[in-house]
Amino acid sequence: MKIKDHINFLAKESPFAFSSPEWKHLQSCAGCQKEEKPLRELFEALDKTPLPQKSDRFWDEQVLAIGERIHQEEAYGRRSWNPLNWLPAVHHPFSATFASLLILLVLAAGFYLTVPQNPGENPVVALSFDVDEEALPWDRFEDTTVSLNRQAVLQLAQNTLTESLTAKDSPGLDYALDDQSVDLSDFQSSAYN
Amino acid sequence: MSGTEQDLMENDLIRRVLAGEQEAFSPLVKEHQRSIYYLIYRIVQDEEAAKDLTQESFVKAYQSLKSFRMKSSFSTWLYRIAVNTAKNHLRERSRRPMGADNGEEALLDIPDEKPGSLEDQIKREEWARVQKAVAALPEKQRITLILKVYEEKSFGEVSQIMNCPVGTAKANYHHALENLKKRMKHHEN
Repeated sequence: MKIKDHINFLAKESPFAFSSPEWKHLQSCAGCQKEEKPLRELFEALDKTPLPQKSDRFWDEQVLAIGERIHQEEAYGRRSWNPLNWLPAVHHPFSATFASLLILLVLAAGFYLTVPQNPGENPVVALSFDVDEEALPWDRFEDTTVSLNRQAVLQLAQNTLTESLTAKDSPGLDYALDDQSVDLSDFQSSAYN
Repeated sequence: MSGTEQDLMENDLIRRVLAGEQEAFSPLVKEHQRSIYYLIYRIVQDEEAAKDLTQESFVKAYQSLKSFRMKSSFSTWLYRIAVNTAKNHLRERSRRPMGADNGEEALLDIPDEKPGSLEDQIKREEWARVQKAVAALPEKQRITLILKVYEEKSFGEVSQIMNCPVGTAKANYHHALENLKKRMKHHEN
């Protein structure tokens, strides 16, 4: 029911209202008759509320403004999807994607070159108990009063080296041979020919 | 043009917009901008805000056009967007400190008119009285009243726009009229 119909109905002017069951009820109900007057006045008052009158130009400008806002929102939306938004020079989505892939490639290559391939393994330390006879300082034994055979010296050197390597902060073979505490007498019995 | 004819024509325009023809949205704006503007104006009672919120409503409609299932009319769907946009604006405005920008007094923004006869002045005072009473209604009752009385929507349409059952829409309308009558009577006294 339109507002005019509301008013007409309440003002008893509408043919529709005259024939309606509501109208017939209104004619016979004192309570509803009492309610009718303020309701009619209310609709009349509501119907009088003025609206701001706008020119055709206003509506044309609204259409243009809406089109402009849609255009701006779309442009902003496209930029939002650009994976390189932080680069103001990159506006095209294809170039942005290409640049992103390039950067990823460079980062991956750098990672591959700098990080050890088997980071869980310890570095291999070569340990050999084979003593190079030629490298041994035979002259150190020239002053000994006892004559050591070659095999006994080698055994002594190898044992000393083993002890020093298993000790913490091993100084190596030189330390073992320089150490004055090395008692060669233990080997005398087995070293003599 | 009948509602069905208009719906068919508008649905065709919507399909064209969704197919990428942005210009097809313009006839939809031209067709509905007046009703949307005045609906929003009646809710927020502020010309500048109504202008901006009308634009915002159409932008939102354009952006979410994919979600329009064409089960209801485009007009009803658009009204729902406009009502929600206006409600959000009212909530934001109520959070602002009074006196800043446009506060409560904006709800009683009377359109500029040149000072006329005594009769005109009485009319304006009468209108301001009604407007004050309408503005004092709870939000749901006020919007239901506007949709029923000014926009001439059926209860079915009001329930779709307000996203509530038809019974709730009827109850809101009834309470709005009752409250208005009481408030008008109170002002007279």
